[in-house]
Amino acid sequence: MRKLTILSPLGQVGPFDSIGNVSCQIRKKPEEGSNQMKYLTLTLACVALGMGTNTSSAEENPQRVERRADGPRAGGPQGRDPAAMVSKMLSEFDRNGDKMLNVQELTAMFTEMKERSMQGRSDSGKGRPGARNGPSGQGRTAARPGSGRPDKPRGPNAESGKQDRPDADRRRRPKGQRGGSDEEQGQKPGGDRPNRVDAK
Amino acid sequence: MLFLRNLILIVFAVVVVPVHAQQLTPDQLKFFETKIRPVLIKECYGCHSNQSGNVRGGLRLDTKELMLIGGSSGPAIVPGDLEESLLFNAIVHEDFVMPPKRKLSDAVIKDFRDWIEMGAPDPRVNKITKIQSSITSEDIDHARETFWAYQPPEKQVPPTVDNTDWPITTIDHFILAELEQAGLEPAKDAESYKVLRRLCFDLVGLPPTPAQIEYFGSRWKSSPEQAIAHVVDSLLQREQFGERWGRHWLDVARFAESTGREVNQTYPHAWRYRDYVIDSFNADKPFDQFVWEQVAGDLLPAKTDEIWSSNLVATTFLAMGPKNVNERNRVQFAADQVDEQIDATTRVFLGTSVACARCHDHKFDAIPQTDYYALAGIFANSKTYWGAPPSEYGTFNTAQTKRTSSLLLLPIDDPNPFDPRYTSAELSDLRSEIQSTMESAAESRRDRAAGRIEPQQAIRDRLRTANQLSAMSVKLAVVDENGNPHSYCMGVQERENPVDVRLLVRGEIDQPAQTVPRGFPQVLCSEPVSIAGGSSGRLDFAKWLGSPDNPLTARVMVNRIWQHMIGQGIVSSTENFGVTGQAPSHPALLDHLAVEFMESGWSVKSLIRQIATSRVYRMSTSYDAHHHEYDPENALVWRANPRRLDAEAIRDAMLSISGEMDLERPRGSEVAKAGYLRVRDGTLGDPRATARQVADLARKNVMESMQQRGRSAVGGTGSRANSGSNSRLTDLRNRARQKSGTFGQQNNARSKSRFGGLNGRNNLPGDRSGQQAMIEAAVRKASSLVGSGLDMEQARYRSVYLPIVRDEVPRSLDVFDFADSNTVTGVRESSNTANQALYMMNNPFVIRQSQGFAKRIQQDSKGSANEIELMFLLAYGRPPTSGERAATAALVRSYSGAGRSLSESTLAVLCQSLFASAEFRYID
Repeated sequence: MRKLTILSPLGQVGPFDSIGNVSCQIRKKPEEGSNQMKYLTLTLACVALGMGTNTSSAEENPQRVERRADGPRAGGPQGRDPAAMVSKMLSEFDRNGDKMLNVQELTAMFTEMKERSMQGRSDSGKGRPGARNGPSGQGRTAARPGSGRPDKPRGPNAESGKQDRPDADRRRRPKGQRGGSDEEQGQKPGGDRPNRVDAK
Repeated sequence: MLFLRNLILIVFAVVVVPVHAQQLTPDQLKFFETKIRPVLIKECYGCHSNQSGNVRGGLRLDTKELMLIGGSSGPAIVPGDLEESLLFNAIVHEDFVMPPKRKLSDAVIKDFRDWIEMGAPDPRVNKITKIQSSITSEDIDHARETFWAYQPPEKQVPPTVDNTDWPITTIDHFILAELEQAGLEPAKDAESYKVLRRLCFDLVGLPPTPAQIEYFGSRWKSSPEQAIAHVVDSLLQREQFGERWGRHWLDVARFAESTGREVNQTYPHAWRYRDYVIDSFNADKPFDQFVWEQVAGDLLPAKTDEIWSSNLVATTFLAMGPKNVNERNRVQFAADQVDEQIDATTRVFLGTSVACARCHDHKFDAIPQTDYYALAGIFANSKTYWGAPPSEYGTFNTAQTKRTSSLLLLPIDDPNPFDPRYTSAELSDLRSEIQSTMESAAESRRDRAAGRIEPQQAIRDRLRTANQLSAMSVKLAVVDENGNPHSYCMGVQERENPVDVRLLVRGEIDQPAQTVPRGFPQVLCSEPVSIAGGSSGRLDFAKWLGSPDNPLTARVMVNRIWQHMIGQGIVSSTENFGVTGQAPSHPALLDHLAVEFMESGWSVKSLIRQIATSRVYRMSTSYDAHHHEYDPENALVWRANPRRLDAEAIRDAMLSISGEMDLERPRGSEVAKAGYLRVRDGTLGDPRATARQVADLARKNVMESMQQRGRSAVGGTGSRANSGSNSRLTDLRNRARQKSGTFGQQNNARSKSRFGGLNGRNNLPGDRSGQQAMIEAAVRKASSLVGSGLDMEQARYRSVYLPIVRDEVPRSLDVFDFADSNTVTGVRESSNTANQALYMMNNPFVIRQSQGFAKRIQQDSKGSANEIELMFLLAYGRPPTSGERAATAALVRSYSGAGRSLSESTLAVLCQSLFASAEFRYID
């Protein structure tokens, strides 16, 4: 069972820790610039490796693989090339121009990313559904009324401009009445007619 | 020792058998990892994976196994079958719409199409575990052969006894034989009035009338047996018998008219089950049929629509359990519902707690976990109806309600009496209102998205509109196109194509193990059962429950009846006939009664008659030190058990004695009247609206009191007589003080100040507190007029018809240890608390009944001596003793003064004293 670990100059970051909601566990302080460079290079290599790897053995813990493939959570730079991410990070946060990030620069980067993530959530409500409740109340709260998802007309009626029912179960549209295994499936308006067993 | 340890380890070992995934080709693996898995992770896992903590629709997509099992709508992926693969259906936005916010690109959809068509190769490991039970078939056989409760009851020959004069019925032989063996003697017969009181309360839950007392007393002198037989036969024919014994059954069946738990939604049609139970007991329906109907009434053949309806209503038994309707996970909710049904069914009919085996093998009884899931398969293949029907617009959940369900349409025209009729114009208005509310909700969402309104405001809007839409949708749903109300009931229906369910490791829904074939608890089946293909097995299970082959059902019911008549069961743990339950005190008697019960056609009335006419039943409660030392628990029944009346009997007795009781059965219930809503703050309805109503009325009352005070000031009349709902006993004490003169002046001042005195509004120092008291009294009065929520203190019908809302039981019942409707209650608690005394002293209902009692005494008696006589006769079933007469006279003197006749208020105080006494509340 392989375990993916991302190392950073600040210490070890768990494979499921979101960079947006940073919660790094500091293992040791950075020492010299060469070590920092080593760590940073290793980190970026691992990130690249992690995102580039798309196969796993059948024995692999799927959740770990999923997280790795999932990449950073809400607020993270999703869907970008890791190399572009690195260069962008360097261009933005490498203040002294030594082509690597020291502790202060990394701290600034994380702070900025966190703030950006928070802002993104509170302003636009963007974020991935299902993420756990974080500081900004994503995830489950996102499913609650009025929380931060964009509320465009959705579904088949989106194009036609018709409004969907706000809280009605979508599957109860006439088309959606499948014979399901749940009480909420296949209900008919006005109640269900029972089946009768006739006496012989 | 080592061998034993190893054996234990082997026995308790859980064998996990991993089933390796089928080997995939490198191309298939690459396809999945590059095209499918990333999309699943990015688009689906947020709502459909264990890791995210979100399993919407009961669907998890993070393992191959669970993806194939699917959620509550069916399998997400059927390899090679696009039509049946609901995941594909959803991503193309056919019936389902996923992801909810947008459609995936055509390229991604094509990838999924290709993947499913190639057989949905998935490298994710299927960790299918197989739980090996620690209870072996040998253990089960051994338990079945050796444990008393698992062997069929056998007919017993009544034992011979030395004292042949004492026994009257066979029951007496069994009891006396045990007593003689222990060297004990049975207590003497109780006095006639005690026996009559016992009979009346036990059979109909009401006190005897003076005419019954007189008649019984005269017959008793000539032949106690005949007197008892006559009264028993008479009482068994009364409608009140079903109300009394139906209530006992409702305790066991955990009857309630709401879901309970965090979001307490009403069951507006649960009252039909209550009436069904009462009618069944009155009709002396064979108990086996009673069992069949409750477990599988929907599957029983019915000749008429009325019978069919009754059978459907009977299955409310399975539907009315407590529910966590704000459970987000549908699969979890369904699993909990099945668990509750199994628990109730097995404990009620079998006296066995099978539900312990949901998470592990039963720790004490020979019930492996597989037996639980065999039963779960039976119940899981039923749809349970308990909520509110959807309208043509669908079901609108309120903010707190995540789970809902429809209702069954009755085949007869018998709508809820409180459901309104609508004209076509009203229906049209309702539809328009729903549509406009939906539009405003959508607009609110758009405003929120555009940032035109604050998020908090958007939330408030959405909550408000969700609640409005829910209420309006139900209004529309419960009537037909002409506006006439439908007739509904709760209940269950069989699903099509029943399937077996999978065992869940530790009972966790995301840990499925092997599939378990449907079946019954093995330890109770002498022969393996077979369930017909195409059926869930629920009807077979019901038939097996109510059959002589079942060793427990008859025993359990007989024990319940014995417990209600004698005061304690032959098996004192009425819901636990297992290894950890109590052994029967009279096993032969239990078997004898069980066999006779079945032979009598499972007649409850016959059994009650048999017990009521026995010598055992009429024993006195007299104490004997020697006997008590030998048998302090009275397990051998050497005397009758003194019992406190239960909550309903106390309330009904007060109503009956005061003459206020309405013996007519009310149609429906308060919950049916309130409709489909959430119970909050002990009220059926909007607590804020109730508060407003109370405030308005209180304001009006204050104004009236002020005016009255003004008139009193002018007229110079005292104001004490209208002290309202303050305790009469407190009044009595105050009067006594006034008469004694010690505190006369002080009390006078206090009395004046309570109502602002006679000197106007601002003249006395105590005026402020007087006004405050007046306002408090006005609020109390207003509360009682508006209705004290679910306490229903104004209701005059029998207690069995009071609304039973989970966790909001009326105070008159709650204070006297009413059954907890969240669980099966065979034996209620019987406490004696200060709360009960305070309730009897201060509760407005008790005070009103005391006043009614006093009025009745004045009307029915001739002279003050007769008044006391009649009062005791009605309350205790006997005339007062000389000591009681003296005490009564002293009380009257202290309250009314020497030489004064018994006024109504004095009588009311006296009546309340009798109500509050121990003798009134106990059956001796």
